[in-house]
Parts: sequence; structure tokens; C-alpha cells
Amino acid sequence: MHGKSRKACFSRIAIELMKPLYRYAYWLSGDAGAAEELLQKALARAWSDFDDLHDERAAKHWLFTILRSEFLRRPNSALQGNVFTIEDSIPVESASLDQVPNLIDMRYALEQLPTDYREALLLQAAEGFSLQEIAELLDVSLNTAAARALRARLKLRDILSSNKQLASAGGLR
Amino acid sequence: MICLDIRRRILTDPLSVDHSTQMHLWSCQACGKSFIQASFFEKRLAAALDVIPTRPMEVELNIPPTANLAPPASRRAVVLGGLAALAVAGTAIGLTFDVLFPSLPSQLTPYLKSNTLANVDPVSPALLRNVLHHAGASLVDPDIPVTYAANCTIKGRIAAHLVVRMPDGLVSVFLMPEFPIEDIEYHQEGPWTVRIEPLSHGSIAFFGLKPDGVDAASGAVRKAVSFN
Repeated sequence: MHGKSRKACFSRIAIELMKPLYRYAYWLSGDAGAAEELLQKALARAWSDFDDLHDERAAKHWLFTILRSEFLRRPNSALQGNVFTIEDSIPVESASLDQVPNLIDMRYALEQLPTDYREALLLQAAEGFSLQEIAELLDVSLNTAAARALRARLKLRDILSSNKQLASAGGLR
Repeated sequence: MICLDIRRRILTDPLSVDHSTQMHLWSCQACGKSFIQASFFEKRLAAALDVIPTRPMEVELNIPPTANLAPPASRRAVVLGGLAALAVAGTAIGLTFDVLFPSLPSQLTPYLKSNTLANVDPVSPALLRNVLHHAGASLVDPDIPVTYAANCTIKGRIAAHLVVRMPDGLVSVFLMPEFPIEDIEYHQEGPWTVRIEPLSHGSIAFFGLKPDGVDAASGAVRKAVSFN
């Protein structure tokens, strides 16, 4: 692919995927300014490596991998990897909620979730990646990706329950 | 044991349910109920994760110039007066994400519903503190006459929506920590006079039917609320 058609192809792919990429950048970095900067860097790198993309159907996975890699290059990037603490061992039995939380409560709870848990949920729930695709993107085993998704949902429900109890007791959540 | 395993599967991948799981969900009322709850939860989760840019983005991509060196020694070349190096100019590509960004005031007017303006009594300080806290602010003067206070999401970001009772009438206030602006703006949006001010984090918008009311509300809110 040469010249104009190469640029046109890249532009089309980038614009189609701009919103999901921004969403990913936002939830990784935690703020709009940092997300824009991360997106800029990722797209610049993707453009220079565009010849590595042989199948356009894989563009989303490819771009997400680049963006994640750019995020990890930053000093003090928050992704932890496969470290689970004892508090993450929340039993499945206690994971039910009385009712589905409202959007604000859910959003607030997501902000309190550790970045790597939030990442797993975003990739699965918002971006529609399968667990296998998530495992490849995060460079972990399928079992690890599945465990992370499970723990992320358990932790999220736990945060929602705690926040609800705190709000009922009159405190700020 | 089976039910526990099924619930674990639902929580791991709620939208991918295999045949054996489906069969169990049909036959077990408790697990079936869990699955329905998990499905609604998943939809709410996806909605909460959905954030979009607050302003148009322009991405500039450049490839630095590369130099084509002289032909390899195996090729015969006639060189007069020295080697010639060819520099290929860098390629610039600008990407403007041509997403429609309607003006901020027009995005906020759908929130100005009659039910938000119907209350007469002030909301409790506890509610007001909670709503402001979610939007990154804190209450300094609890006596400010706020008759409505709730959090909402604007482009996926949490904001605070208040209604303040001023002498000239009710003024709707939107505290938006993730919508930065450069300078004070005035707009006319239908019957509404709109004033938007920058904050250290984000901006605050005032909607009223009279310009004096909007300016007065700005002063009142600035005294009563601290923006973190």
C-alpha cells in the first residue's frame, strides 16, 4: 500500500476506533488530558508500524495492544499484573446485590476499582473482547484472564455494597 | 456445588453462556434469577464505562526524515566530487476526528426538566454535600437555598446538577469537573441565559431566565461551595 491510500486506510481505521481507544486510554490513565496524550502517542506509533498490520480485521486488537504498551512505558503506570491480595478473595456466594445499581453509583465504584481490574472489565464488558483475546492482549494465560474478570466483578460488587452501607449510615461515599 | 460453579461462570463471563449452563439456568430458579440480575448489571456496567471525549481531538502524526545513503559498494556508481546523500522528506498526516460536538449548553438543556424546578423546600445539607462530593466539590455554607441536587452523567462523566432559588427566580447549576474551558462564556439557549465559568478543575454552568439571576447565582454558589 502506498502513499495516499495508505494514509486513507490508516485514517479510516483510526477514526472508526477512536472512541473505543479513547475509552481504554481514559480508564487506564484516569483522566481526560492523560488519555488524549496517551492516544496521541499510541496512534503515532501505530502509524509508524502500520505495515505490521496485515489483516484489517485485527486492527482493534492491534491498536489496543499498542495503546497498552504505550501506557506501560510511562513511569509509575498503575497496572499491577498478576498480584492478588487476600482482600480479593471475596466469596462468590456474597456477590449478589439487592438491586442493580444506578449509573452514578456504578461509575463511582468503577473509579475506586484497581486499574487492572477495571481494565479487564472494560475490555470484556464495554469492548466485547473474549477472554482469549483479553489474555493475548494482557499477555497472560486464559485462566489468569478469567480469574481477573471474576475477581473484578466480585470486587466491584463489594465496593458497591460498601458504598451503599456508608451512604445509609449518613457518610459520604 | 453446581450452583456455585454456575454463578462463578456467570460472574466470569456473563454474556457467554454455554449449553450446560443454559440448561441449569432453565431448571434452577435461584441461578436463573442470578443470571438475570447479572445481565442487567452488565448492561449498567457497560453504560458506566462509556466515556467519550469532551472536545474534538486533532492528532498529528509525523514520520521523521529518513536518509537514503549512497548505493552499496557492489554497485558501480560514478561519483563526482564526493558521495551524495538523499534525504527523503518526512511524511506528515493530520487526523481530525470529525465527531460532532454540539455546544455544551445545548447538551445540558435536556436536563432542565420541570421536575427539577418543582421543589420549593431546600434539600438537606447531607444530600447536597454528597452530590457535591461526587463532583469534586465541598459545601461551605449549608444555608444556600438549593431546592434540587442530584448527580448526573454528561458524556459519561459525573457532574452535579443543582437548582438554586434566587430572588429573580430559579437558576440551574451544573458543576462539571471534567469539562475545562478557557474563559467565561455567555450563551443564549432558547429562553435560557447561560453563563459558564472555568474552575481549577473543569467548569460550572448557570442556566436562568434572567441575566441578573444568573450572575447573582454565580456569586452565591461561589461563596457557598468550595471547588477542590
